[in-house]
Amino acid sequence: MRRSARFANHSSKLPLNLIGLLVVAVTFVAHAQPIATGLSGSGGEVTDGAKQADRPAWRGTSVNYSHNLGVMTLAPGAEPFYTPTWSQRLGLMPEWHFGDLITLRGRFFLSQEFTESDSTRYRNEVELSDVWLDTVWSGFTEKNSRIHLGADLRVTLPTSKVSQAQTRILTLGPGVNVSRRFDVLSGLTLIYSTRFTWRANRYATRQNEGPKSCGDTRALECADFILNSGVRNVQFDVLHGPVVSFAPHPKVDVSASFLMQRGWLPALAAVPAELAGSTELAAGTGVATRDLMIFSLSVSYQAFKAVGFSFGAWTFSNQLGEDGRYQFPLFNRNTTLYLDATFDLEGAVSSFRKEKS
Amino acid sequence: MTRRPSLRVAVSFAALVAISCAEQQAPINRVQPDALDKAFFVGKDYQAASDDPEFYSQATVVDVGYGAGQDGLFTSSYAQPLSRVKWTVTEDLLIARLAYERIQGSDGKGVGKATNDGIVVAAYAIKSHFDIKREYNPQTGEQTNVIVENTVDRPWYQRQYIRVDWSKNLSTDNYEFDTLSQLGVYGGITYEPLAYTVQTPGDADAPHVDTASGYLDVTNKAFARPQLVDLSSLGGGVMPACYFDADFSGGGAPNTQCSPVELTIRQAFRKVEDTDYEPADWDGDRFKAFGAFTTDRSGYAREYGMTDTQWHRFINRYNIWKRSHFYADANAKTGAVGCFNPTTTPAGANPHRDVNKDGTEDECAAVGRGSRCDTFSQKCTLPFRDRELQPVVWYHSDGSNPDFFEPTRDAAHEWDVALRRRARGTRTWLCLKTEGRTRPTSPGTPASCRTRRPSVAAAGLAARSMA
Repeated sequence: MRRSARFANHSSKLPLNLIGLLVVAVTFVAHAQPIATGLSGSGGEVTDGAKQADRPAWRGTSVNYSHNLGVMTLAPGAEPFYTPTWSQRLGLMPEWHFGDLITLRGRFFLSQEFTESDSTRYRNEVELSDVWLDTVWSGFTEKNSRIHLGADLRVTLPTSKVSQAQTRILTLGPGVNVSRRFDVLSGLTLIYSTRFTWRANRYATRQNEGPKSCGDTRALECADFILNSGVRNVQFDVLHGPVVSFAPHPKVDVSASFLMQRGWLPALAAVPAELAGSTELAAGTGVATRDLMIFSLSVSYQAFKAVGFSFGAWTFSNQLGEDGRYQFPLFNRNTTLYLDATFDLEGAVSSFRKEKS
Repeated sequence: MTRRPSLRVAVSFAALVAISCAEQQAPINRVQPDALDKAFFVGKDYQAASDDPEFYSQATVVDVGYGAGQDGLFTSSYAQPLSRVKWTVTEDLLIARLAYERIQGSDGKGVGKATNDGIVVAAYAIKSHFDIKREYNPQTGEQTNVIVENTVDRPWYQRQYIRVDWSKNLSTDNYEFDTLSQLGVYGGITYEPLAYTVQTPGDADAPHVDTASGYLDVTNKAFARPQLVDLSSLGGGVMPACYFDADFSGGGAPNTQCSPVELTIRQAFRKVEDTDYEPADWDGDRFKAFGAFTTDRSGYAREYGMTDTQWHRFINRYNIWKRSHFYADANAKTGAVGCFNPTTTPAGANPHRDVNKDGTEDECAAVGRGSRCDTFSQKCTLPFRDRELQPVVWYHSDGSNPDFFEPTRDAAHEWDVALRRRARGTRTWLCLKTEGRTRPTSPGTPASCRTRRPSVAAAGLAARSMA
């Protein structure tokens, strides 16, 4: 994605990063929702303890491959400057189950933009995401109301450029989700999830100002980084919102989510003594938070036991657009379309054994 | 020994807290040097003249390179006028205007605290009006830790800071108030377009800004064109003086240089503070007794034009008194006793009249003890016996020849002794005069006229080394 030089500073890799954010959101949803497609492998509602015990500890481990397309790529005349964005992404998503209650889950993504990138040093550079390590408690279901409560603790390690630019050491994020499943066709699940994330940064400000170091990380912090030209790092944030997952058929799942994030900023640095006389410096704006909204919609199809596909769109907005208007939170210039293929390792091994036998 | 789990949790939590405290970095300061607060020049209200401070303004030629053929450059003290100015800030210019009438009583320009319309004595280009503020996200208002010069959020006349190009006084034909103009007139000197202000930090000539004490100086470099000689009478043209030996029709070789002569001129501004000085008109009789440099002020009378009675020659002298006028509240300098005004001085009356011959002028009887009317300040003076001396300090600064310090200090000491004796004597004599006595006959000197000997530290002249 490359805009004219004049607007280079104002441009951002929105579609590409939106794609990243979408995966984050999908992952978030996948974590929060009960197992509906059989693909996610995430710690969700335990429905059949005996069956789970028969499965390997690494069940749910998968590899994800996707192509992502900024929606504006399909509409060259929609904006004054045409900024196509097309990228591919490989996700490594191992899991290890300690019995039925506790799961250790990792996420790591490699991404590469085919179009001209604003964030890489050379064309087609491969960028890394942060490493996510989730310790998931599958939770329990209250028998009368059938309301399920789950929780997890997420630790991220700063392997992405954007996190390193923010002098990140690690993040700690406990999350809880409440869900209720209804027996509609193959299942309708309503979820509300909340996560608090404490970001341990070495410095209160990032090491550069611009969004240039935020490539395709498909991580939540990337969206924050892109859309805010301020240089303060968010100190902690709360992300919450509803998720709906509907399975009209055992192999089909339709999910939608609307998540809201509020990040709290550290205090501004003290004014140098030689500038203490500035009246404008003394008058702050009082803006100490940063808000973000994320919307996603996806359709998944479990074609085979080992392979499933997802097609979806997701977008985010958190401030006025470049035309001075509020961005429509469900669809805007940041919207990204994606097509995912997920290879489930357990399913693949199972199919291989069956074929061999 | 078995560690308890709670201890591990506590240690882990402490470690977590330790690494989670983000260190605050100093903000990125993109404000360039020489940003000057407009309030320094025109007070807090940038538009109103009523709070505009007054400044003393003077340029001093502090250095001339060897090889200048123009003698005037070395005797340039005549071209270093001191003036009292108020500033006007426009979009493009910082203009200094006289804070008084050039001819008293003429047109009223520059008179009064609420006006700022005096004669223009200097004008400097303003390079930028700006605010100093944090950079911010224009879409959310979120501020960053980057401090910048903002030139867009407010109109120029509301922005707090300016950056001035001090290198040239754009009022180039100001022959009464501008040093270079005067040098051009009296010394016949012309200048190169090249001129700049020394701004390198650490340079002795870098700008000095002390807003707390109200002082600012900048040092400029100007370049005088090489001296020329006119050989047209000999059939030649105008030629550089450096081409010819000194014995040939104004030639200056080999010492006169063929390159422009570099002038270093320090332009200094200091806020006018009320020092309660009592001016003295050094008329002809006084001048005969004690010659002194004076600053002339002329006056204009309607129907008469310029008159001798309003021509004053004020002596240039040090102010050795802490206060010279009487105030009910001495610290606040309020509650002065007025004189020489329509209320106290009947038409045609002498403001210095002392009808009862008690040594105190009648208009200052409320002060008593020999108080007189200062007709220029229109306030009654503080009796000499009540005045306190203040030191007058000459600084021997870095870079001065150390050989001069000892003799300067000795000379200062001699003047100090003489002045302190005279000040003490004046106080005593005037006191005796007020008490009806003609001579101090110890022990007959009234106790009220006995003055303490001024301490060395507190009074008189002193030479101090700044080194």
